[in-house]
Amino acid sequence: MGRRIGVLTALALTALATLALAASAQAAPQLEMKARWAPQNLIPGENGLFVLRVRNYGDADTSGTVTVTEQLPPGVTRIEPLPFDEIFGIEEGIGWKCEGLVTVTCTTTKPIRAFDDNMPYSGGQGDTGLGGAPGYAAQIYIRVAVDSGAGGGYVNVATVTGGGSDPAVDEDPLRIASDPTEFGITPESGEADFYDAAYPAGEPQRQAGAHPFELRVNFDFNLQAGEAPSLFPGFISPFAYSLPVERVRTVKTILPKGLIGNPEATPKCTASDFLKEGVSQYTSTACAPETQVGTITLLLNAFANETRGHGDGSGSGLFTPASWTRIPVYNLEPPKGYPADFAFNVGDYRGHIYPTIDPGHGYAIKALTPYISGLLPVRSAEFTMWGVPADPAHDWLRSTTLEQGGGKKNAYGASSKAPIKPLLTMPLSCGDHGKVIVEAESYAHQGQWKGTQLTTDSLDVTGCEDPRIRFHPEVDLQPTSRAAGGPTGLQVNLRVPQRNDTVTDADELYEQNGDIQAIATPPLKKAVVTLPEGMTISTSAAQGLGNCSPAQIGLGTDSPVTCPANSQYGTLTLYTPILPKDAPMTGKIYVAKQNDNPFDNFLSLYLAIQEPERGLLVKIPGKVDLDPVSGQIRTTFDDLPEFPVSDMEMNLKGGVRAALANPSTCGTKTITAEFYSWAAPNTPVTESSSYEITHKDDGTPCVKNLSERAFAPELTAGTISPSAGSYSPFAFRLQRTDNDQEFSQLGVGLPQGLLAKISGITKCADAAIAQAEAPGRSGAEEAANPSCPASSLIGSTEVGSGVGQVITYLGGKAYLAGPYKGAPLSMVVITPIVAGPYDLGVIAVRSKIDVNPETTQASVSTDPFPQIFKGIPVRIRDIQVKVDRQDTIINPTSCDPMQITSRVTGTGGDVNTTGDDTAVDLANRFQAANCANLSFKPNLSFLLKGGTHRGDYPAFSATLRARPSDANIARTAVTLPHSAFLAQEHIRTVCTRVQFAVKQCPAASVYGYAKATSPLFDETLEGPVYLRSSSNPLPDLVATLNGDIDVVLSGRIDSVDAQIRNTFDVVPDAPVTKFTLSMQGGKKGLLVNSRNLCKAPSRADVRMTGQNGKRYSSKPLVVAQGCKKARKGKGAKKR
Amino acid sequence: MRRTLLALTATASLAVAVPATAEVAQEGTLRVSFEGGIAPHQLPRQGTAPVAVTLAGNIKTTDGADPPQLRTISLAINRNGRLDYKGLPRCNFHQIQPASTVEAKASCKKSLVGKGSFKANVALPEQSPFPSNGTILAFNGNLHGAPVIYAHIYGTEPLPTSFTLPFHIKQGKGSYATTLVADLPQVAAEWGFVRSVSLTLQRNFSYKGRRHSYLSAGCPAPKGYPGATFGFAKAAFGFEGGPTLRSTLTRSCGVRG
Repeated sequence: MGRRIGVLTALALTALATLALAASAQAAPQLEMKARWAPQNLIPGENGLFVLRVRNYGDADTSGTVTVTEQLPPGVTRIEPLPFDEIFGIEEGIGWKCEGLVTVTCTTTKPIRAFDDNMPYSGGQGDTGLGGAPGYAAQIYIRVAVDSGAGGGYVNVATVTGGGSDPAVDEDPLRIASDPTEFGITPESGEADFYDAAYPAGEPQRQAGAHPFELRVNFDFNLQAGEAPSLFPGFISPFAYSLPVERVRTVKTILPKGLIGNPEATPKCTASDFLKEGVSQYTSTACAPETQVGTITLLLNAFANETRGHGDGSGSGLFTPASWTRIPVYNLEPPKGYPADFAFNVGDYRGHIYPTIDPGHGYAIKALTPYISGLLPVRSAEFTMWGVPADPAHDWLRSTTLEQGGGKKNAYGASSKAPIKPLLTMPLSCGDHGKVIVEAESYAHQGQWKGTQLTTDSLDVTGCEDPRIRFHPEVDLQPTSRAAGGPTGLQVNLRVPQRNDTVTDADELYEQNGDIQAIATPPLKKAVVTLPEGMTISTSAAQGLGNCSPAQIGLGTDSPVTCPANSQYGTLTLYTPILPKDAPMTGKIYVAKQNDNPFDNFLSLYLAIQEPERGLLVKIPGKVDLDPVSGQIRTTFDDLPEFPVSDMEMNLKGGVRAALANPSTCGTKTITAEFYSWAAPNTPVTESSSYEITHKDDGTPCVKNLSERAFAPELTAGTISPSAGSYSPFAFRLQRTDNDQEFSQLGVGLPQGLLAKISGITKCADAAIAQAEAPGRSGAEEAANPSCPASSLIGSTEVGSGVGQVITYLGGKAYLAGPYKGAPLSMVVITPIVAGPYDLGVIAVRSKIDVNPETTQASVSTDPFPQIFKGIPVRIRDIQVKVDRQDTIINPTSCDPMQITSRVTGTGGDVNTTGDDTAVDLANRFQAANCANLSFKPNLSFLLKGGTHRGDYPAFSATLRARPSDANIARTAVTLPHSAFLAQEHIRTVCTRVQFAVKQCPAASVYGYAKATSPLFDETLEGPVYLRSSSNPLPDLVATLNGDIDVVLSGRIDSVDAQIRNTFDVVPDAPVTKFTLSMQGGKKGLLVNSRNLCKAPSRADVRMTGQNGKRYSSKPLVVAQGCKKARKGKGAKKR
Repeated sequence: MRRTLLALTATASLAVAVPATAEVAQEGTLRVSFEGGIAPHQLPRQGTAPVAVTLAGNIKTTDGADPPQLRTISLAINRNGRLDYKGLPRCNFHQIQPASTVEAKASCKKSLVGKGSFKANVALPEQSPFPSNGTILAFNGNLHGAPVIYAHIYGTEPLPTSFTLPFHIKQGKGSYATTLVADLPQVAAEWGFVRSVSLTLQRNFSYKGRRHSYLSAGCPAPKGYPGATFGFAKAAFGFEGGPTLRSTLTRSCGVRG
């Protein structure tokens, strides 16, 4: 790192003492030493050029001999001038006399002039008493030869002594290497820092929030060496020069994060005044002194014509170094695209420094100085920005335009009449803020930034506990609607009162003086806003909403924000003292892409200010946390830019698609906010704001408690086509108003005979359902690749949720599933929760389907509906289910008026528990039509197997066959022939109803077996036939048909005309193609022949009633299978 | 075969026949009322005359609970009574079982020796007890070479059913030498409870040109007495679980002529 020790004694003094001494001490020269060389990497075996510069920063000329000593590194030796150089007046430095080969000593007795008020000055490289820039001695050019074997890194030491000044030393790293020198800023060539006093005095300013006296930045560009052809063949050319490797195009300076620059600290010079040329010296403008904010000094290679080449120029005068010293820098009205413009005029070449806040560097100030070509090849630059520009302490460098000789010229010494305000403020966060970064690009290699870090020490800010730091934010948050439970936007007004930093005495703005105005108000670092309980995200906002991807927001970059318009959630206005009050920053609030945002969470926001016309680009992510139980919203914006914000207004959009929903209860709602400043990032300041909810959306009084809400949902249900016995889609719809309690659970009772054909339908496996519900599965995934197979799909759902007039509908799919919670079948509705930009995953609501075994009447009971899913209240308003798989739902064959019933429970007062749910029973009339069109002619046949003789116990079977288009059977009575007696000795036991209910009938109660084939099922329903106790005089003959569902057919046994009769009074209205009832025979037979069956045919008496009311009677033959055998057999016994 | 019912050792004081009454036997809460009688009341002092004998038993409990199941019936008839079934056609079990009363009578009309009734309750689990009532026809039969009386029981309520109960006729000594013993089947498995049984035996038939009566009896009244009271029969009902209730039916008769 370059270290110039030109103020050794001054460094020992305090800044205050220095200032005091400056006023009273005797004038003295103050020399500064600067050594450079070209090429920047000295190349082994080649020649190089050292350039030694002495400046006198004192207020008196030097007197006596001034000696410069350059200690060349090992392997580098001075090339002594040729004997005829002197003849041609070629010197190593005007007025300098050098000697020595390794330790080169150059002396002059000519005084080096002090800086004077005849500034700024533009001219040659300076001289030693021969004119040129005051304060500069003529530069010394020492040509050197580098040994071919030299190499490595060293520290070059150059010293200046004498002249009545304290000695000064310049130590810089030096490298001998063969790799070529590239364009760039010479590493460790310069420094940048904030000081509390004027150069060369002052200590680095490190107090948080303080206003430095000035910012100093200087740096060099890498040099290359060259020489003109030798005048004398065989001799070295006397004309050598150095110049930048390439011409710099743009310089970019990035100040430490948190440093605040306020371009509003001074009046601004208009572009036209800036362009008005003054007279002489080519540095003048018509800008008022009040607009000056600092100075700049440039050293460059100029087209010199006043010298013959003092070792660094050719005979043509090309590449002669020239300095432009302490040129005033003005605060200009910024052009389009920049928030500020600091400009200077260097010999009619006007340079601009455009500061912006850089999202790529934590909103640090980034200053761009573009298009430097007009300034000719710049070798080095020094820039000083005043911390308090109107401070009279800067007047000696404050430029003014003076009339002179009928023309105008600039001169120092003007004063500012502008209000005294700080332009620079140190960061208000403590800790290491790094260093100033300077980067540059050349015309030859545009876009290839070569940079380095400047600053003597890192900007390690301290003093955040200074009691003068005040942070008292205020907040006011109001909803755009005060309707209970309705959609609402939100207006957030945040104020951070700023310190009044306009003073009458500039000293009040310097922290070392102890005044309170000397420390700025810390910017807001973090804001945590917790909305009232009950105020939640509104799903109604999802429709049409987009989102903003990381690429579109481009956090941490200066790329423009390209978030889609439909991702805008609100607007943002920031008032900052660093911008005109009447021109606040305005921006937009966007919805971040779910799970693809800085927080990898569900919901985040972006605050984006993008004003290209002012060069403003601010992008701030905000995290939104949703309480998974209550849905309460907490929004956190952290690491806000470290620039002062006095007022912030955020408006989240209202209206029917508002982002938020108000609490459903009336009363005072309080929003709390925690604010953290950059100065105290761990100490919250808590503020709150309240508002009243007074009414519902329709103007009626709101409830004080959620349980007071009404619950009056409306039910619509039925088949699309009610034609009896035909297939038709089934539609179900349940709706509630915004003011009703939320749906908690739902039960639906279908009418008898309204059945589903599940034949051919796969049951979605539990594992597949679990996969759908698995954490991490996205709705998009489910939509693209449904967990349940298509073969299990039976219908679709549309579930609308939201508040207010706009309901967001989500489509789901209904699948048939297997046994669930004791029911033989179930349905699962799988809904990918993809609404607008949100993909919350998948909600699977399973419903058990119970089937009344006596009537096959189905009832569906859902599991509790999710109320808050991932922190977002679901607020289901409309449930639409359509079971529309082809040929699935079949109408009854009875046209009796029936009902579709529904027991719907509301959430009561607590949506998260079912204990306080309230239930309502709803019914929707249902009636099939055209039953008379259905015929009814079932066929019933009987067969006796086994012994045909009296006393034999034949097995008995009855087989029913029904035609597909017939009405279903409602009642059947079968009277057996007289020949059938009850073999009561074979009544082993009966199954009690209790045993039957728990399916624990004793084996001895089984007397037969039954099978039923129905088009509704793939498999045959079958099971034992029991004698089961009943409320009839005799036990019932009960056939249990088990399969996809369990059906129980209960036959009442009695006698008529001394004949056994079995009557099925209740037969399900279900299509059956074949039904077989087989009763055991032999020792287990319940029937005994009272006569020889083969003697005469026996007939049963059958009387059936269809579900459509039609009757059918028959007397079918009871076939005794054994009679044939008996006739064929020999020795058959007659009884 | 002719069996003579020996004169009853009735006391002389029972010269006048007493009307038929019920003798009650009780054990615990189980109570059986035995009834029976002989007709006609007037019988010859000397010799016998055809008679009809009725025996009945009613079973109940004093607490209303279901009685235990009746398992055996034993009837011992006074030796003054005579059972004569020689020449009487015999009915085969398979001719009448199962059969309705009509069918049974049609099958073994010539063997018919009596009729009666049968009442039972079938109490299935969780089921209100339903009555099982039937008509009894008694047929002269032979089972395994021994004489029996087949009691054919038929009912239609609640369902048409029949069963045939063989009463084995056993000859012994003493005052009650002729015993009819029947083991009841498990009517309606273990769920049936007999409430009452009533049977009247009477049959006149001709054999080889002579008139016979299935049952004959005289009135064992001493001379000079118009009638007598005598131990008519002994009845015993054995129940499931062990208890057997017994009673002696004492009846009276008058001297004819």
